[in-house]
Amino acid sequence: MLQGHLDSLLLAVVEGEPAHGYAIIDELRRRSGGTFDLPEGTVYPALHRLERSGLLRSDTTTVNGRQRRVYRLSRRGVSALGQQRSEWKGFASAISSVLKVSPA
Amino acid sequence: MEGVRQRHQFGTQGVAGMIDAYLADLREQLRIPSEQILAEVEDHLREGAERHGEEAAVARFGPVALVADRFHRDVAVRDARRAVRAVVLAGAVLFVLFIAVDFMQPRAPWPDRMMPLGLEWKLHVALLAGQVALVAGVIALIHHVLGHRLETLRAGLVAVGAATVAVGFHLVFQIDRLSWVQHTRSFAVVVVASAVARVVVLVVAAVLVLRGTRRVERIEVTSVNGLLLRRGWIWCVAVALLAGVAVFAHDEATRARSLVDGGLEATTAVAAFAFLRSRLGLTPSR
Repeated sequence: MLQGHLDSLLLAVVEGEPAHGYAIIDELRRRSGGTFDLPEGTVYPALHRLERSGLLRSDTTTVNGRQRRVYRLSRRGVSALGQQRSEWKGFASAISSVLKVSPA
Repeated sequence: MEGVRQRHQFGTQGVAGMIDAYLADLREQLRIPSEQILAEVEDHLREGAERHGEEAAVARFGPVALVADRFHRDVAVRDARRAVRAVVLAGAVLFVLFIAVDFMQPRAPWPDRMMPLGLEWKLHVALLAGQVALVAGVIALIHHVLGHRLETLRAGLVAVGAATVAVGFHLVFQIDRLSWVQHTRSFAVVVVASAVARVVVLVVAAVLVLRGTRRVERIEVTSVNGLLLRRGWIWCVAVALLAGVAVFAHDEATRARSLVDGGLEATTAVAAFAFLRSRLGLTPSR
């Protein structure tokens, strides 16, 4: 189920400020209270895919002698995230309405 | 990355060399350009090791096979989408070429029902466009063989099927151009049968392409702006029927040809709709 929303979650994490993969995964785990604890390596294909589709941009810097790729939201990404938020709100609201316990 | 390569080359062993071993394994298993990926993974693992130790960093990153598989799956989906789009575009090119031929030649029937000399090359170009689609499908199939992805196989089969249909259609299209047909008593039967066959073939091709496109998009479960053309075949059939009705307003001599063009137009319209919808990232209708 998480896989189906991973793109939105990743976009939301980098919305505030650019971040590299490790920081993104850390923030995802922190914001979800540890619920979203994916194998870390599976997040990178998603980040690359989002970059290919133009929703993320990345810059490479050198930190401690290592190449580091830092991701940031593109303008298309901002728009896509807004749309996904709106879709999610509608979806979550509909699910809540259906799951609501009816008074006996 | 050079550092990683050298360290691995000298055979680091045990926990202290876990990251190097992991990167070496990943390099072996990745069947796509991997330098940038490995550099990024190394940065992640080294940072993880600084915080939690090498063993924990590697464990948290996930099994090499799983990570490699995720990268391959994404590439397979991307390639399959490109293949399907190539088929769609090739279909559109075919359509434009057929229409161009129609506009540039005298209206049928000609005295001998033979295409005037000098226009033959355009049909060859149309045939070539079909072959481009065929090649796209073959590429998707090869990718499947290399990547062992069932989804890519299906998309490849769709691409090959649609392209083969396109080429087959072209061959059927030639039937009423043969001079011998008009001299036989079964001329009308042949023309009507070939027209019906073309429409059926085109609708089937459109459905295949649309279903293939939908399937490919469904694989990419994390794409919220997916294509997901629901009930695309209904649109296709409806547009084809409308086009079929419309062309009966034409005179009898061009009816069969118009029917074919109508079917082709419907196919192309639906395909173009699917393509634009995916490019514009529109929300699929539910």
